[in-house]
Amino acid sequence: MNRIEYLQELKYELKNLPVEEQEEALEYYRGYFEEAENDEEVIKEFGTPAELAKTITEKFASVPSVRKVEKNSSKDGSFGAFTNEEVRSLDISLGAAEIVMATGETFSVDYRGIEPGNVQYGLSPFGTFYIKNTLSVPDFSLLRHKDTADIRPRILIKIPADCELDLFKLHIGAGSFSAKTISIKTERSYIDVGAGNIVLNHVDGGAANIKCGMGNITYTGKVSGLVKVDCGMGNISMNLNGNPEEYSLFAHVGLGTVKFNDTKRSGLGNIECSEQKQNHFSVNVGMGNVTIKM
Amino acid sequence: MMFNTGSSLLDAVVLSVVSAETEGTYGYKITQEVRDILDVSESALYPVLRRLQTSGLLETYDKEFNGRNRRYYKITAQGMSELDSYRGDWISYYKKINHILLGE
Repeated sequence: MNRIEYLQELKYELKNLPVEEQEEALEYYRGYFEEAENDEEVIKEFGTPAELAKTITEKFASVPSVRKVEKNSSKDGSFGAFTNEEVRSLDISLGAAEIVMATGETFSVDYRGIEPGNVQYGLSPFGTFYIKNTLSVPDFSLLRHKDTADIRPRILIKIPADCELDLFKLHIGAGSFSAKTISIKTERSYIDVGAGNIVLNHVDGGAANIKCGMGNITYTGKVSGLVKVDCGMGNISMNLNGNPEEYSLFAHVGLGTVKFNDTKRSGLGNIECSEQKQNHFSVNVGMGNVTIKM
Repeated sequence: MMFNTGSSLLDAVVLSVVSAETEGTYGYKITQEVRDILDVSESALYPVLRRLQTSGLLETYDKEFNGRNRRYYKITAQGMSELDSYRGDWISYYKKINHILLGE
């Protein structure tokens, strides 16, 4: 690993910090590499980017994690209402509901068919608007809504039009998540689905990390920087804007298939590009399918 | 070194190393100087510098060096007074330790 790769990984590992803190730390370590003039020695001293990131982020451990949490007062009301100035990141982690993301005035949440209190949300001191299940087994908690209820658990998340974020984190267990009419631009994104479905349109996900267990992910928009795609048994389909000349790809294929524009690989083997570019896909496929079209 | 370095001793040493240069000094050099006397990892210094900076004990400025930007750390007035109180604490601490270990 050279210093460029190391710093790129480090940037990714620091994703949970506010952007100015990330920049500050990267600037310092960039300078450090230049002074030391021995990448190998420095990397040996620092450990992996993840280890270094842990050392850097640990000083934030004493900061309280929640600045304000809205109370779930009524069953059918809409909650939240944070503005684009307050919200720097989105962190959504939900189980088996039907979730729709649409454009609204502010960041807010509305839900039906779920016991009040089973969905928690709020704004962290770093400006992360989070929405999550409150029960201890996150991926299945929403399945426990009353059997007698005739309404299916539904969650509506609203975000402002053309919203710009530092980080967009989306984790869906077995539910379905659909965002067809929104438009998000983010520095980094982390998209993860267990057995559910995610449809995202008009997302500029920046340096994206996309993981799919048994589910499906359909993604339309843009990505840049180091993009990681990991697919177990599911399907990931990405329809992207951008010049394919500016992107490189490395794919490790198990029993599945990877398609990158006109390049295709089915079954055991690798797809390798001759040089790694600024925008780079790192793809890992088990038994699933990954299609990337630009 | 066989004794553990607590975080306040590390803060004191870093402040002292930085204060020795009137024009300030940069991260790599600070790291090397601290590592000459204390057994700390290279990666541990940035969080210390950043913490001292955000609490107003150190300030930074950028200066060009060999065609690139180099970030300098400089001690503030508040940092100087903090360093003075560290020095006072250190004197009473080492006297007590010397007394018990060396019978001085």
